[in-house]
Amino acid sequence: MEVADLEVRFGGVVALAGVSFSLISGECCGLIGANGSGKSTLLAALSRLHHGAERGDIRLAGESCVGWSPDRVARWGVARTFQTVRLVADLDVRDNVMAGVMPGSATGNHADRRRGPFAVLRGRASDASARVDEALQTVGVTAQRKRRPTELPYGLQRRVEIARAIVSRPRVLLLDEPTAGMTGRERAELGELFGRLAGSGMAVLVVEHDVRFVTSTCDQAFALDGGRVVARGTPTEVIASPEVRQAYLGTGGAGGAPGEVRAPGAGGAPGDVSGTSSVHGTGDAGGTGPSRGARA
Amino acid sequence: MGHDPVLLASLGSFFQTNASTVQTMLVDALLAFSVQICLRAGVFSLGSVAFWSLGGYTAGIMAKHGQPTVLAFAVVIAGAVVLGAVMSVALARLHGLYLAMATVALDLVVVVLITNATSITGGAEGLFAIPVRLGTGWTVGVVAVAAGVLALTERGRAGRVVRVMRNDSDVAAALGIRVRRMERAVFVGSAVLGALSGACYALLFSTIQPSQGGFSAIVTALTIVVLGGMETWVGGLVGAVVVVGLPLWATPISTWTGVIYGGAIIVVAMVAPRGLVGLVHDGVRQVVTLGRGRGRNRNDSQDVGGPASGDVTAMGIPAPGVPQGAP
Repeated sequence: MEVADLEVRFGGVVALAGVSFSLISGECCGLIGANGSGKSTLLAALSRLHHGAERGDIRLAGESCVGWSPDRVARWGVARTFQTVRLVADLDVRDNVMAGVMPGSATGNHADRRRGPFAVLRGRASDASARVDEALQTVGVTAQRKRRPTELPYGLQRRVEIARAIVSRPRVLLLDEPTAGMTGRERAELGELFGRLAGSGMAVLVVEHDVRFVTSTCDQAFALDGGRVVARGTPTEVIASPEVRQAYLGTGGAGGAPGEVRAPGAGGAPGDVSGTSSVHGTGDAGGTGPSRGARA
Repeated sequence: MGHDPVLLASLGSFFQTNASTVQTMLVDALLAFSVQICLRAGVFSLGSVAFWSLGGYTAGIMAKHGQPTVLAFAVVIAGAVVLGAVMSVALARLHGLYLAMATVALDLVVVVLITNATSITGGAEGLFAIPVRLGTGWTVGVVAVAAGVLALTERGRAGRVVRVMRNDSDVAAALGIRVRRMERAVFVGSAVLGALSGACYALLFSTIQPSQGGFSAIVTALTIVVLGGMETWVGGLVGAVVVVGLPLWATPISTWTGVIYGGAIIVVAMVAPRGLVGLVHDGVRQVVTLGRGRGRNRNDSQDVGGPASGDVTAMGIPAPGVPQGAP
């Protein structure tokens, strides 16, 4: 997925101004930025779910998708989660994930087409069902599959939403603050999960406030401020850049408050914000970005 | 089960004395299905009544000109598909309250058109002496087929897609569901059901007036759906039986019918937003859960020899404090 010079306006307000970046299969990319910096607008634009005026181009494997409907983009293989959990309350967890199985392609978007034209008919229901179970297992909500989403704690609801997004094996996975409201341990687990998903060939974009999470999970990162990309590179570089320190951490932000507040128990020292220490509270190093990228 | 001759005879005489009531229920159930499938998919359309009028007049006029019933139904269905598709494109940009207003306007426009096309429709006085072509049996058949099709859309993938659409159309689109196309399909399906309802009415009762497709018809259809419940076709059927049947069987209080309905809708909307069917469904679920909990408790008490306790949490798990392992 390539984004070139994307600009989105709502009336006179410029939400995004000349944003360019690309997501690469097998890589996990982090996106940081303060509230109102355009992160969610960018995800809406990437999934074609926004209603603002727009300039620039978004290309999926070289093809422009600017004129596409959101469902077409989704069927191409762009899946997403939302900043606030948006599950269907009157379906159980399993059915919610089942709803993510793409219509007309029981074997997924970019399915293994070598199985021939009748593969879909042969294994349709059982295949979909098996993949739902697999997705539930992947995010770790198998035990709750018969429960209603509203009966689950928020962290688990988020996991269900991730399961729904990955059940069709998307090519691009967009995650809007997936770890909000989670404990340090849960974050570590999810970070590891996103790494595995990227390792399986997806291009993953994680919008995240937690600087520590981005440094330990992502291969690449960029930062938005006022709708502009103010820094890009490896997570360590991005977080170390003066623009990010100024814009994202704000005045006096060098104290490392975000990492500390959002990852309790990880023993965050102020220096952690610069990414020099990316060890999780669980003791799982998780690998820094580049090393995991090499593994993938 | 054996056939009880007395029961059958009494059922037979019941249908004879109440034939027109039962037929009205069936016709209204079809109309309710038509409203239901829209609301269930989050398409707030009240255009069903317009298609009711058009279907009724089309079938009535064709029957009066000696056309066969099958042809009349074929024309009604084909016309509803075409007109429904055209209207769905025209109304594609409207949602929620705006769509509701536009479709109510459509209903009223159709009433005016029919009233003024006197030479074809008989004007405000309506169409009379339509040959009676249908009996209760055939109407039951039409309702059964419609209910069967609806039942299919309530299960499996279709049922999930519909629920996701109603819940959040952005999420539906993000999951690859062709929301626009689905909405158009729902609108066309609703048009066909509405037109079928009208056609059945005209061919059952041999008369149809433009005023029957007016605002009060919209209110009746909505009452049926709200009272019965909009989530399954059973709700439409139950709602039609209650709304049509009650005033006829409770004639002593018929002057208060309007008040009773108004009150009933308010109560149902407050107490049982999923309608009577939803209420029964929840009740059964609760009883089953309770029963399971009791059963489990009884086993526990047998195992451990302690006293049984009725304290069961919502999930059927014995509440804390139940003696475990006490001699």
